[in-house]
Amino acid sequence: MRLTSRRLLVLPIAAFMTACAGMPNAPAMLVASVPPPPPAPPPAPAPSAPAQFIADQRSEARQLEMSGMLARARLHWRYVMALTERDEEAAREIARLDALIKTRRDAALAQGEAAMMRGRTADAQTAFLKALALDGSNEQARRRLIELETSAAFVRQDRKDVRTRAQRAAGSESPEN
Amino acid sequence: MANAPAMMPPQTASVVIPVMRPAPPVTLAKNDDFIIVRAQPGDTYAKLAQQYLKDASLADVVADANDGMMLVPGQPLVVPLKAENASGVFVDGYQTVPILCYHQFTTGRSTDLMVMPRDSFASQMEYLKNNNYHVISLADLLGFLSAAKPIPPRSVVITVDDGFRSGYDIAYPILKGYGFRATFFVYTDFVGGGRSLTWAEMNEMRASGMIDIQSHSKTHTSFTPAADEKETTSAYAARIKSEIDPPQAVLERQLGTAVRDFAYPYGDASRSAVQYLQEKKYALALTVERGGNPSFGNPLLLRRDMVYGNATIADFQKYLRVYTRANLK
Repeated sequence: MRLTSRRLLVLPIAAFMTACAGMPNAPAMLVASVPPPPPAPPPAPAPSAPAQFIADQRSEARQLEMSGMLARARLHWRYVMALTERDEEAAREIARLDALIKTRRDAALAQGEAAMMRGRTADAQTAFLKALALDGSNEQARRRLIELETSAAFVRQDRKDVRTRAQRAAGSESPEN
Repeated sequence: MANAPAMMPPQTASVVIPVMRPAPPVTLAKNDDFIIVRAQPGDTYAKLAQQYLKDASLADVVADANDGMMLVPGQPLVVPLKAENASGVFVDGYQTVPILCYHQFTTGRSTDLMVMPRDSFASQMEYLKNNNYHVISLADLLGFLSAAKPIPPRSVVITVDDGFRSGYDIAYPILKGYGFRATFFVYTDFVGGGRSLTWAEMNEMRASGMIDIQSHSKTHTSFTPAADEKETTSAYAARIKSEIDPPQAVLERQLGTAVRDFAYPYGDASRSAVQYLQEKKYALALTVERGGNPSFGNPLLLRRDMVYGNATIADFQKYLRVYTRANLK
């Protein structure tokens, strides 16, 4: 399960009440009789559910960034942007996080390449994984990780081949089928 | 509309007129990556996943995007239209998909590790169901490996090797009962033997939509090359070709299905075999190296976990490696 800054969100009561009041298609049954009942007073204004949701997203984005989850923090600022006409804070935060993610991703890629050059495959893998955690669509990191996985798989297979030949020579086979 | 009241029909005390409040919009925002909607009465994560992602099994993906909070009508919710991170790599680790590998089944007991007692198999499938694992197909796994399609967290693949009839008699009804898809890898020289699946049985299973039939070579010979002096490079290449091409043609002719996946006999891959499968446009090929498969695994060198007949539920749990923890901050 992915790490998140919170697992269960308890909605503020005001937002919950607003949400219930805004239930779609809730039929208000009006009995047309004589004399007609006075119209119900309009509900007291309360923060709309989207407004509360937007506030939650801002708060969540800040918490996620503090926890080092930059890509996820950026996503929450995008939720804010999507729900608002033009939110200057969200636009500013997205631009800042874009720059920060790029800087850290490029540093991780450089570390990974340097580790590859030195044959330090475990360090290289960690560095490329860090790059992918920041930018899941990064092709360089993905390609390098596939290369590392492939090399490791063939090393394991080569060792197994030695065992298999020894078993053949001894007249027994592996139970692996 | 000053005259509007005069135009209303006469009312009586017994007439009840429903007045509909204008419904708030369901969709609050949408772009290529996500949609933000207002939860409706009766909504569940599975319902939302079916409605927006056309796949109810992605309920956990939607739940995850909303921190798993309880659905309250009117509350805004995020439905990710694309995987948040298609690589499945996050700051605390990365998603992996275990592929379980079975061979034969029995209604009794067996000392042969390759034979799985029916009760044990049923318990393992029950464990998957009760613990919120999602059994996906190899086609779904390919989507994960190519970052084309999100898969649910806790995804697992089930495979059955060789083509023993007990797969049809014992495993298939259990899989069907749970609605679990699986891939049967068959080596074609075995078909027609006394204990093998028949083409009719394979066609029946395939037609159910639950079982896919793919290639496990022609004769089930290991792809480990013989020692250098016993098998030349060209002889080895010819052997690999003769083990891959004929079963593909036979399976496609008998079952009318595209053969795109391959299980190496004994799990033994080789560089030449991987290269040949690549040339022949195979999508996936499976070894029996233990471990879950990350999105950055080589699709032609996938890991699988053999489940032996004496496996306890505790053993079985160890094979279900769906997430690898790592500090990637």
